[in-house]
Amino acid sequence: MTTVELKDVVKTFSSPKGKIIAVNNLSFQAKEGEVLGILGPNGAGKTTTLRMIATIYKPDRGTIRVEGIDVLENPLDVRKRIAYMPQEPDLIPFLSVEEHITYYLRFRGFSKKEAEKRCEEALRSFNLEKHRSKKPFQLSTGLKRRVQLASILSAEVPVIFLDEPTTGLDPMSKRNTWELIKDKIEDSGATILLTSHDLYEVEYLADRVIIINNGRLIAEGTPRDLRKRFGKSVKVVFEDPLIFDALREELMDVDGIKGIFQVSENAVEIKLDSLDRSINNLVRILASKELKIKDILTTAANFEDVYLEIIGNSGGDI
Amino acid sequence: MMDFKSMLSSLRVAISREVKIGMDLEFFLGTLFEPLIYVMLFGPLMEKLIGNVNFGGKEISYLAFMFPGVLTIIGINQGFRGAATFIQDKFRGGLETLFTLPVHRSALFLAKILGSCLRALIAMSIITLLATLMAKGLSLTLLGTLKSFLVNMSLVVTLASFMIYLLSKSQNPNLPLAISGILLLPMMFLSTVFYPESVFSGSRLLSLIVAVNPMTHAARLVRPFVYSTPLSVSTLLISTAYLSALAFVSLLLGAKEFARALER
Ligand SMILES: Nc1ncnc2c1ncn2[C@@H]1O[C@H](COP(=O)(O)OP(=O)(O)OP(=O)(O)O)[C@@H](O)[C@H]1O
Ligand SMILES: [Mg+2]
Repeated sequence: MTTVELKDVVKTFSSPKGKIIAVNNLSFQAKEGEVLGILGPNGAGKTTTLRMIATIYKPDRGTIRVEGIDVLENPLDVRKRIAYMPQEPDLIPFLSVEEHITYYLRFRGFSKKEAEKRCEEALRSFNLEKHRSKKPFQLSTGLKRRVQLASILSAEVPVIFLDEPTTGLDPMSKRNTWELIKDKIEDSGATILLTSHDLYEVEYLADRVIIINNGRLIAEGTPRDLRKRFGKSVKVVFEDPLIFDALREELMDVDGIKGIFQVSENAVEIKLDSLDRSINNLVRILASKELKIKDILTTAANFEDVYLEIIGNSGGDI
Repeated sequence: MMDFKSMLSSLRVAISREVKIGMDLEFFLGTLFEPLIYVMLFGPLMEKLIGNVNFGGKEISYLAFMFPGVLTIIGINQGFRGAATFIQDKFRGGLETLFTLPVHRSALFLAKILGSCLRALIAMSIITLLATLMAKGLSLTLLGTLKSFLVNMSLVVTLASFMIYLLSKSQNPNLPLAISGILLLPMMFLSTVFYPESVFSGSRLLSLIVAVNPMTHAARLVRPFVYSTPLSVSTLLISTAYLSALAFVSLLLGAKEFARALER
């Protein structure tokens, strides 16, 4: 079942310099129980998108539905089903950790008693007991994040939005947060939309990924899919040292070859349009040049390379 | 029906949160201190200087004369401060999460206004208690006191809503400070809080400003309530209608913009 659905969504802001199109005809879906990673460079429109789904902003055009409910027609019903963790930890100075969690739960409709009970459980399972009466200024970024996660998770809602949940955390806190998200959220069967700049994080947590740039969707799939689709480069190792410039001249204009880089005195890396079609082409040409090929390896692109390539291809200013 | 019940319960939670974040040191020092100066210092000293004032044929002490004005000052002070918790929420964080919770935004807004009214009520009660102990010729009835509180609370509603209205549109958290810096003193001195209306009779412009100043209307109503002197029906109707209309309009404007406070 589709839990979150966006269709042709547009959001613009006016600024002194003119109109900013933050989200531009964006459509995508998240299925029930899925963790959907949302990637994209700074200013791509990730936060704006989450804010629209979470009913903070109204889309200018297009439709957004959460569990079938339209965000514009029935925002209150949508809010009953969602929990949202903003990009900036937004704890307010005068409330303690436990007050933050209890108010969060009471606003969600839990009685005072139930909210306090759930807060106790959350403090325990998130290891926040000894910080319970601290105010935000006494908390590290990691602890602030943990307080927010604790609030959101103890509410037990079916749809959760996490906007860069680990930005600014040290490697250890990052891992802890990942484990918390994996254990607590995934087990509950909630649908999660998660933005991040950490590609390792997305690959680790997300079932599926969408990449947006300049407010548009530019790629979609599982991290594995994307790696397969975009990790299209081969490393060619020759028997003898080669004259790189001459080879590049030869290959530059060949159909299906997008780039060529020297990696050692007898090896080059060649970026291709598509693996299957172009590789035959390539081998044929190289053979005709009487260059002795020792080895051809398809390089295992890591997700970061894939991401950079996708973003690079999508154009626009980054 | 269900909706109304859940609206009420979220209003309760929101008010409790307002009280928690709004009743801070700044409130107790910032709000109570100034009126205390009026009642404990300025009033008694002026009394030494000019003695009694004739009000509607009644001889009353200067402190008793200015007491209703002090209540009104509390009203506008609390009004200007009415957006204090909103500033916290919008500019230091909190609002983003609040806006994604299953709560009517109008309930969140209303809680802020009621929170300001509550702060004004506390401040007015303390000052009233002090004034009855100190001011000669001040014989307050319970009903008169309540009515005068109500009048001043309309100022709180008007100004607090207006501040939230402006801050919802603006990205500058210092706006209320700037506006109250400009408006507060003229509002006080171009009203009948410190002197009788006849003082302005020479200038048409000043009289006009005095006539549209909500503080004038508040003072017109509060004095008779406090001194139990007669109040003409026309004054009662006009001033009540004027203050209510102001409160109502700003409340609507404030609620509307508040709901869109993060849209820009
Ligand atoms: N309230 C606003 N008013 C004006 N412009 C805005 C507003 N919010 C976002 N924008 C603009 O919209 C675009 C998208 O911003 P958004 O915050 O959604 O990007 P993002 O992908 O979350 O970036 P980051 O990775 O830096 O968090 C940017 O150009 C940003 O400047
Ligand atoms: Mg963002």
